[in-house]
Amino acid sequence: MSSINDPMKSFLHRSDEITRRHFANRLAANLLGVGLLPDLSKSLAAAEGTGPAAAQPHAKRVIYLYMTGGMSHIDTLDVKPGTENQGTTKAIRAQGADFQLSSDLSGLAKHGKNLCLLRSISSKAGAHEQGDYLMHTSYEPRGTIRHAAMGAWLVHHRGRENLSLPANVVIGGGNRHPGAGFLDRNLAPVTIGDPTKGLQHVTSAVPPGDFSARLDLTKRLEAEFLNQHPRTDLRSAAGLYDEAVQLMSSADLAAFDLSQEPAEVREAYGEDHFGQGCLLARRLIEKDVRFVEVALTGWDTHIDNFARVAELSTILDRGMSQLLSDLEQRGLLDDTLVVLASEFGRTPIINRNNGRDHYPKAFSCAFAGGGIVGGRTFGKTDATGENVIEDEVTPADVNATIAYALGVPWDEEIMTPEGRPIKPANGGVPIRQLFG
Amino acid sequence: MKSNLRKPSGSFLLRRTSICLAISFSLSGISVIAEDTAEASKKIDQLLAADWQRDGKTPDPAIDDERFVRRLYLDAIGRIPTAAEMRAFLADESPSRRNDLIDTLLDSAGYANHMFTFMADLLRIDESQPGGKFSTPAYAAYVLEALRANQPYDEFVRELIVSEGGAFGNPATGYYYRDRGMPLDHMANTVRVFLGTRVECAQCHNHPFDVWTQLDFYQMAAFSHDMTARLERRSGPFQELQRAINSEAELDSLARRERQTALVEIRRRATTNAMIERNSDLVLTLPHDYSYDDAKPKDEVTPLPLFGDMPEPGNPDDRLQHYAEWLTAPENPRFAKVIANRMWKEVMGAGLVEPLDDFTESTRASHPLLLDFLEEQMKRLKFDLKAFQRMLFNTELYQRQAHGEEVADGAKFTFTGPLMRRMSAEQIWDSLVVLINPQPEQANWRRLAENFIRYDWAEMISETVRLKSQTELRQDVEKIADIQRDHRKEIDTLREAEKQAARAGKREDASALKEQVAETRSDLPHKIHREVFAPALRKAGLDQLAPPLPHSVGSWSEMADPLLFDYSDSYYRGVALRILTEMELQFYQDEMNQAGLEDPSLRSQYTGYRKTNVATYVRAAHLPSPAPPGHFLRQLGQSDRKVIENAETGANIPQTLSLLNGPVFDQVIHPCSVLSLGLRPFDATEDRIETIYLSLLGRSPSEVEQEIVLEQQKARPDRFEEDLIFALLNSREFSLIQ
Repeated sequence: MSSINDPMKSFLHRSDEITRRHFANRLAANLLGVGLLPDLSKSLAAAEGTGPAAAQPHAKRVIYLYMTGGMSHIDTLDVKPGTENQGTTKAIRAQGADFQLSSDLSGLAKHGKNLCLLRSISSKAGAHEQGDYLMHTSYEPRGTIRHAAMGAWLVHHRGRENLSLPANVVIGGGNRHPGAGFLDRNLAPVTIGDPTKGLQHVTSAVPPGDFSARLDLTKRLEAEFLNQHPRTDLRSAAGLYDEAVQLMSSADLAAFDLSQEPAEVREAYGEDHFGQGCLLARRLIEKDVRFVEVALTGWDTHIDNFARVAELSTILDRGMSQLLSDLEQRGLLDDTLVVLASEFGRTPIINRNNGRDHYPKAFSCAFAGGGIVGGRTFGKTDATGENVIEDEVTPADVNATIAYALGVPWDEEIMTPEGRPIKPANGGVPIRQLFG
Repeated sequence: MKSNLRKPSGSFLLRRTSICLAISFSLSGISVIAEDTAEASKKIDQLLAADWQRDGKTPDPAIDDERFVRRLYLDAIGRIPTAAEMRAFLADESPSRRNDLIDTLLDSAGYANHMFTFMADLLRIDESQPGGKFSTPAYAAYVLEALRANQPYDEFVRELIVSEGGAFGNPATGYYYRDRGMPLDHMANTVRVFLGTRVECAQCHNHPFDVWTQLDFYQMAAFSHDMTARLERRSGPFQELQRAINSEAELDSLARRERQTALVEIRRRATTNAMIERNSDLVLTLPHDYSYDDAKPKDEVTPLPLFGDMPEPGNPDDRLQHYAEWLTAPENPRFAKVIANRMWKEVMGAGLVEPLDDFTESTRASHPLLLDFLEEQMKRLKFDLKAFQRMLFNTELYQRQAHGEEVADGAKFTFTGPLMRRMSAEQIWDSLVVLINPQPEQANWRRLAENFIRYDWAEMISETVRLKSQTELRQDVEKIADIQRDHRKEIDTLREAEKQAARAGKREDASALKEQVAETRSDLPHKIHREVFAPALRKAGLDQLAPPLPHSVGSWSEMADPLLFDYSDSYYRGVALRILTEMELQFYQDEMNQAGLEDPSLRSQYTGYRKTNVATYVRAAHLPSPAPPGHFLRQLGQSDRKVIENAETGANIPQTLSLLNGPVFDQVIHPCSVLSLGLRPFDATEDRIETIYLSLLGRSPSEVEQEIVLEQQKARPDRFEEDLIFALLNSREFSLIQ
């Protein structure tokens, strides 16, 4: 579409089919107008078939609960009762499971049979930005490329299930979210700051009559111009207006409206943003949205760790356990993978401010649903919680596991427009033992 | 204290106010290179004509004045013209009017505002990077100023490459700070941006498709791998003072504690500076898994340029200088060519080599002779980017109809006209700003004021502290300790009185006293500032410096003495900003008077409208770089500035929804908007329709369009103008550069 010269041609020849199409789409987008139509990625994925590394898909959707700031593993998922490092945190036994949890996670303890704890993650990324990025993308942050987070990979490979709602949503996430990285920008998550306010700009500020009169005028005036410029990209861009209007009148849009939930349900999730975010996540998942991330911030407990972790754990526990109950009750837990993750753990040794510092050497996350067998743990740290002593895994392995659960070819290379080979999980290996 | 106090040269104030608050176009007369330029422009057309002849192509027809004006405004200053600007040009009958407009626009404030997008995308200017607030705002201001002053591009690049020191003092260090902790990526980025060459593959292995080896890459990286970044808390001579206080025998423990508390007040005014320093202890070695025969793993690497020669590349003292000179030398086979090709694409819509930054040994331009000529001109013009663009704007090619047909994959773009393209996110945003804000080129002065208070002011106070002798500082400690002691006494007395009043049942007295306690408490930092730091600032002659004002309205001294504000205290920061807002009101009065706005109802709305919008609807160059996620600019495809040239021009649903239902439309149709005020002189429907078309699309309506609009008028006589504005804003044509 733009001037294609020799170097670009040679680039196209040396890259694979997916890249070539991806690149052509990107070119189209750069030139004038339109990116991938929302369902094109789906047909793309269907056309490619499953690569050699593709897995049998179990799950269709993900709810990714992200604890921003570094959740203290030893005070939540990897308790060490009776040790000096434990401080004032108490442990309780999870029901139907062979593990203990912090007593501030009593709601999750009741879901013991659904939960699988991964207690042996280890990385070298001890700063927030690096850890965040690594956890979301499996790669270290580089100045020369932006990698993609799992939500974008999922929609890239498996397309959308609901064509009128955004497929990838982040609720309360930070500005640092890598989003779609180098993948098509239409795969980037739609971000929701306040879950109670829903999606931006989906209602018209003027009465419906005025709105349709204006749209009608827009089309009549534009007809001449589009006839003079018979370009597919211009037409597709004009077509987006129809799609946008369709979204505005879509019945599914009600999924974003939390006021439609009974007061007692909203209360059960917790009135805070995280709790309401979990509720919104459930409503979106019910409408086949692919990937919803809900963030809970404030875990950077260098000072006064125990009071703050207890407070945060209460918020986490209320939202997540209610979410699991609702998913289970609705029969959605089988094909929805719920992940609880954070950028790193915290120093098992308590610092002089009664706090804990960054600790990437050993930390934990939790899985539920999506084919995961609950009631178990995988991996182990030593008695002090400082070192992984069994089944050490990396953040890349965690992402490979999520990809595996979803039927995303975790090991398949995709070329960036610059010709750099990138894999969804950067060579991480799925922990197959977690599945039935 | 001597008055040798240096003014922080990385200052927002000193650099920005002088520049950006100037709004009127400076008409610099006829350019000295006009004749050469005209010839060079002709030569470009000749080279293309020869090519068309060979390919059997005919050039696209020339465009009329209407098209030309809108296109040139967008390409030269990054926004559409107002209806008034359109009409002024269309009324000009001088044969040199196009040439004159090119000169006028290139010399106007809009030029730098537009070019900032280009540079910010290339350099990834990112205020949201960790620690970025100590470095990036000053760096962004520095880049904007370099563009405004039209600093030669090669000189600008050399300044970036050799920059050392703190962001205050040398804001060019933002270039290294951007990649802090990633020296290898930094070199890959440098080579890609300035030499259009991809070496990042060679970071980990020999380049699979090009000539670069991993060793080449490491040798190149060795030039700057030892540039390290750190945040320096400018502690000054406090430790010495602390020790003195701790060891003074005659102080009892209370007196010692009092002085330590006093010292905290001085210390907390010390600012943080983002430092770039050369750490000569750092040695670059090959990776442990290096697997080629030309060297061994973990071998020490000495600097060597990727190609060409350089005097003594290994000499550590001159290393940066030599590297910068090698990079930007006219003899460097890629430096001039790459920037010439980039600027060509900026103006004509497509590069002669694409992608812009993947030059290899086998790269062949679509028009090799033309690219050679452009490279030659870039050198002849001594890397004057403005003069280079002037040359391109003056070609016949630029003034031909834009090429709107799709070009098949793999086909050569023949440049029978410039490529029609969607505006950048910034161009769309800035064009909306023009419909709302009557001073579209004005800097975001509230942001300037905030930055001034937060950084420059803090830096000046910090500087007065740093320049004091131990004796002087010790005197300050005593003075602050006295103030704090008196303060405690005062509080105690007041609280005692409050207690007594309460006991005596005098409720009103007690609550009045309670309030007084709170007031006295909050006044403490201010009192310390007034008696210790303000005099030092005054003595240093800094009372001329105050937060920037909107244009030249009023002065600080009429409202308050800026030196008396303790900006380190959030309360007084708020007060200062409120005073600035007061002054802003005066400015709006002037604006209304100049516009001859007499209607009382409009006058009463005007101030509120401007106040709400003055810091929001400003040009993208005066918003944070990049705009925060979710901002309309980002939805429109503004680069996140995480990687080089990451902007997009694709359409998507959130963007479409924002235009349909977002807040911009209401601002555009507000009775006090530029668009609405521009419509007021016209009564006849046809004139009003034409003005709306001129304002949004830069052209008159066709007969068919006129008819459609008149039909709409019949159906909706009260709303049809709003309908029309809505329709044109949401049309494809609005966001196209035709």
